[in-house]
Amino acid sequence: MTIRNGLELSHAYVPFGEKTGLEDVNLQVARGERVALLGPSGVGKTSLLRAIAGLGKLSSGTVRVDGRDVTAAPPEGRGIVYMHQSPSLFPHVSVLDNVAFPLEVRGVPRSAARAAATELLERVRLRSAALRQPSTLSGGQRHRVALARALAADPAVLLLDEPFASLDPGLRAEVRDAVVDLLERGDGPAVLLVTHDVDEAAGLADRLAVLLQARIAQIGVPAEVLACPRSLAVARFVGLPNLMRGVRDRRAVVTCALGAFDRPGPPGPVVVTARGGALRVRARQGGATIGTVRGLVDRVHGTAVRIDVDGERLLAVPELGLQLEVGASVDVVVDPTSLHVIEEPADGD
Amino acid sequence: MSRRDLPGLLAAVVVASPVLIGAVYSTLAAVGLVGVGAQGFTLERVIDTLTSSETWSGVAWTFATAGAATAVAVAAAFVLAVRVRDRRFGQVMAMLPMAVPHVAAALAALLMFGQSGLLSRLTYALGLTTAPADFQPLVYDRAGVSLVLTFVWKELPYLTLTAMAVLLVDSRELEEVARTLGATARQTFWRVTWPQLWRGTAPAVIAAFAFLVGQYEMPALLAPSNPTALSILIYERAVDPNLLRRGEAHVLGLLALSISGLLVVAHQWWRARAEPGP
Repeated sequence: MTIRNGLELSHAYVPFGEKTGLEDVNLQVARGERVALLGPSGVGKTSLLRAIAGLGKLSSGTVRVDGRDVTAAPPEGRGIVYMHQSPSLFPHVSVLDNVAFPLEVRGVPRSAARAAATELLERVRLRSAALRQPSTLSGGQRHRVALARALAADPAVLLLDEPFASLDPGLRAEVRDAVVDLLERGDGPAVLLVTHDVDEAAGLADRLAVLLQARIAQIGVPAEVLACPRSLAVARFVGLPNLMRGVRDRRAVVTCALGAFDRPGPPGPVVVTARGGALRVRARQGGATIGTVRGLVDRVHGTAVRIDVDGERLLAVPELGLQLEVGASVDVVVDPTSLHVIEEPADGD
Repeated sequence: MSRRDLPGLLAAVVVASPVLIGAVYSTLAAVGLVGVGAQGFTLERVIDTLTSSETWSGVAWTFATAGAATAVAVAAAFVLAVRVRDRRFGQVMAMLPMAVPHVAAALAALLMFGQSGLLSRLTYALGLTTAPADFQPLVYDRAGVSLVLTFVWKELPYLTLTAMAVLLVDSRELEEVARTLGATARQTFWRVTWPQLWRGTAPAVIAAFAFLVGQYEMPALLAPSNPTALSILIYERAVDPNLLRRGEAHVLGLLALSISGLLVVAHQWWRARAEPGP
């Protein structure tokens, strides 16, 4: 099926030097949609983005933009804007001329291009900086100008390569907000962004695509990818803290350290996962799985507790006001419906 | 200024001191206070030199040939740098002239462009001229054709190397951005690559120009006697049997230094205006 609006990548093979780096990548991003491409360093995320933009090669496969095959088109003929990790503003012209650049190279008269650029600068709240040189701007301001410039090109597809990686946390929030503000208006471009940060990706993107071992290992909405990873590798990559050995019997009952629950599927060894927030610990009352406290972990959103349950090291959330001591026994409470089963044996099984 | 800045400052002073000391000495020598033929303070040499038509025709000719050679070398170096930046063999080839001494380059140009040189014999052999001596003079000519070409050939590797360094550091990402923003390869070259190259190589271009203004061996072998290149004028005055004229060499040297200094100041002023600090 070909999508009419947005980016469609079909059976793409991306080379790494002489070897094939990525294999049979299929991806569709509709106009107005944001998809985050996640994966470990060196897996080929940037190579894929560059190939889509026409700055790198595809061994085979096709790139379609708004239904048009642009695989052989030069970078300027694709309707795709590629933004590097750094803002890459042209240092020899003013902020205004940077933003007017995409319009001027398309033949828009200078005065009209500058008027349109001024409006875009208004949208990123940098109109007052229009006549300044890029070197006089702060890091966050430069990123906002780069965003305005990218939108001046009115792209069908916007590729963002680690757009926040070089920013400190404060600026990161500023630029992320600018991205959200700019891209949530109307019929925006299809956005494909590369990031290492799973939380950031989940917060920004409509869908996550996880690249592992040269392929897209899983693609789906953030809640699905983060809570229901398709493989152990995806679960590990997205940082699921609770991965337990389990086994499913012929009656479709899965048994793991947290107990037994029904989950249809073929019998055999499986991995049971639970997000950190899915497990709660409380003072011993009985009627629940017993765990032993191994330590406390201070996190941004509160304290988590490391527990040992039947030889499995798990991460759980303590009940409000619960006083915990290392070595103490606690009840571990879990809703079985929040547990996810991965149909593959744990390492060593 | 902190103590950590001292070593750098000292190094700068050591490098600059010969120029400063030379400028002070030349100033004193120009007004007859020191040096060979010094007979007490006088502005006579300064006035004589600065009102001489020979001086200004030499200055004009020297700056014209150095300027033309620099302009051609810069344009060629930029194009060459873009073409060979991903080709190691091309880079090595482009650098080869750097290894040839200036005097050897001038002698080669003489052999090539002289009226009894290879080119004149070739045109004669091809029937393009009736005799080798009919060949258009390219050596000792007022237009300085062979001198400019030799200047270009010698400066090209240095400027290409500088341009490639700029391309490696600054340019690739900006060019890619420009392309995906909709610029064609040609638009990208003129609107992004060229300005980047110019920004990055401007100090090297000024250095190359200043070097050519002061170059002696190549004008000595290839330039006409009228007008006389500035470096030749300075040398002739410096070894003039009339000791009273030797002070004029200092006036001419100061003149060349002042003009080059003005260029450096103009460049710094332009740079400060174009790229204000954060």
